[in-house]
Amino acid sequence: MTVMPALVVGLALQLLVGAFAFLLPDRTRPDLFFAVTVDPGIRGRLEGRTIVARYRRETAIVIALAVVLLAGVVRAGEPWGLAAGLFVELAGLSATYYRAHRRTLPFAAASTTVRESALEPGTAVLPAAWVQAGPFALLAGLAWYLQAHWNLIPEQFPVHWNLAGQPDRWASRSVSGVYGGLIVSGAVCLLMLGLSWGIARWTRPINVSGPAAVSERRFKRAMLRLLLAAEYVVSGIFAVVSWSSVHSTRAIPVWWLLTAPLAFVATTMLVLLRMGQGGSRLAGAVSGAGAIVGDRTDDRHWKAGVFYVNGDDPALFVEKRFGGGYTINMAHPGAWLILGAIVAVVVLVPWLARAYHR
Amino acid sequence: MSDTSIIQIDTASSVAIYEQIANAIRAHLVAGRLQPGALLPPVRELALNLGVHHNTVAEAYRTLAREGWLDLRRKRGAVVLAREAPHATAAAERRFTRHLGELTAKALADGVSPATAARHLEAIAARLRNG
Repeated sequence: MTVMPALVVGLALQLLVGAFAFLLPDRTRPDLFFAVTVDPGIRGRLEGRTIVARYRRETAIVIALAVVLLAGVVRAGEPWGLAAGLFVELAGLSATYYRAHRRTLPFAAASTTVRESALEPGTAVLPAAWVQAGPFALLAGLAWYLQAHWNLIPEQFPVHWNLAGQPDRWASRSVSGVYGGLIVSGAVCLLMLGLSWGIARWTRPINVSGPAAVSERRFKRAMLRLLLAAEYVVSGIFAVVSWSSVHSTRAIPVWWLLTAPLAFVATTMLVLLRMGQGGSRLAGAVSGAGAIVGDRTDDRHWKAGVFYVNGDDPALFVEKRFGGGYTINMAHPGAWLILGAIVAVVVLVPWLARAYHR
Repeated sequence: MSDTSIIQIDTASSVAIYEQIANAIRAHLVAGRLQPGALLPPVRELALNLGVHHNTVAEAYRTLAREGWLDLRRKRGAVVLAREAPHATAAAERRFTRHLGELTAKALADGVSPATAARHLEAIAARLRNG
């Protein structure tokens, strides 16, 4: 990768992450402020405005420092510059969030102790089974196609292309070289399917009636569709790459490989910005009659406002208090299963990398 | 989802959670908001929604099953039964009067005015008289 494209990609990523962090205080439930349960009125008061202003000042400084670091390291020709810039930014942003969280703690309000449930069996929120099976059918179909055309696969074939569309990494015609990408993408899709299933089955509604409940259900459905879309993007990219191993003389549509994930990230950001946590940004979600204080979890179970640890709670997933989507209840036995699956996928990637060479 | 089929519990209450769940469901059953044949949520689903252990919900369902309100079937879950009201015994009436007295005393001790308590009791009495 040449210096300019690396710099442009790195800057785009850093600015995207920075912009999201900048907007996060507005993207949470009104009664959760930097992951602390509060009276929603604090956002409009001087104390609340001061905390947000300091957070945003520090966030801007972190983004600026990370950009300078990225530009310096990448221009010096260091290949790890992109990762280093992003790491510094994430570490800095975590620190600014934590400082804001600490400043908010004195304004903590008691969460509601009332919990409620409908007396009707829940309705399905997962997409239809045949839609969920799509990514796996695609990968299985490609695997069959590669098996059937094994002799047409060159001894060496490209598996990675630079931003100019030129191949810069190859694999040999071996089981790991040919099927490695499909196996890794299958594992990633399986992990995302498991997460979707967990979110659909092991999260509880915070509100069970009124406009807030409707918004929550819409938000949950949107999150599940985004996960499914991510499966299609991942399996689609690997399917194209695997297909090209048989047709290595044909040009790979690099624009497609770049556009699909970028379009997905942009869509995800838009959905989160529009709906916010639990649909709290949707009109009428929280202001309806019977609105509750908090998210029906206790502040004491949130470590640093980020990690939810409650052994008495049967929920495997709860809404994040700061960020988008859901997080794992670390004290739930199922959490180990999910963390184990994530580690397994992470272990698969170096295995695949060994099968490739420059 | 109708608002009438919702139950609430309070984790800060001194009343045992399983008892709160059974009381809340019983209130819906007595009021006729849950008709015979209606299916209640599976134990694990209700436990998840209320954030309590599944044994707590199972105990509440068993309590209602012993009273003849529910039929607990493996796989199918809890089904509401058509239940004939039993003839009240003198002991049951004494228990009711004692509970009502204790509840009223607690409300007054918590600062609820006698007039407010009386208003609520009269509202309940009116609902009972009107069926």
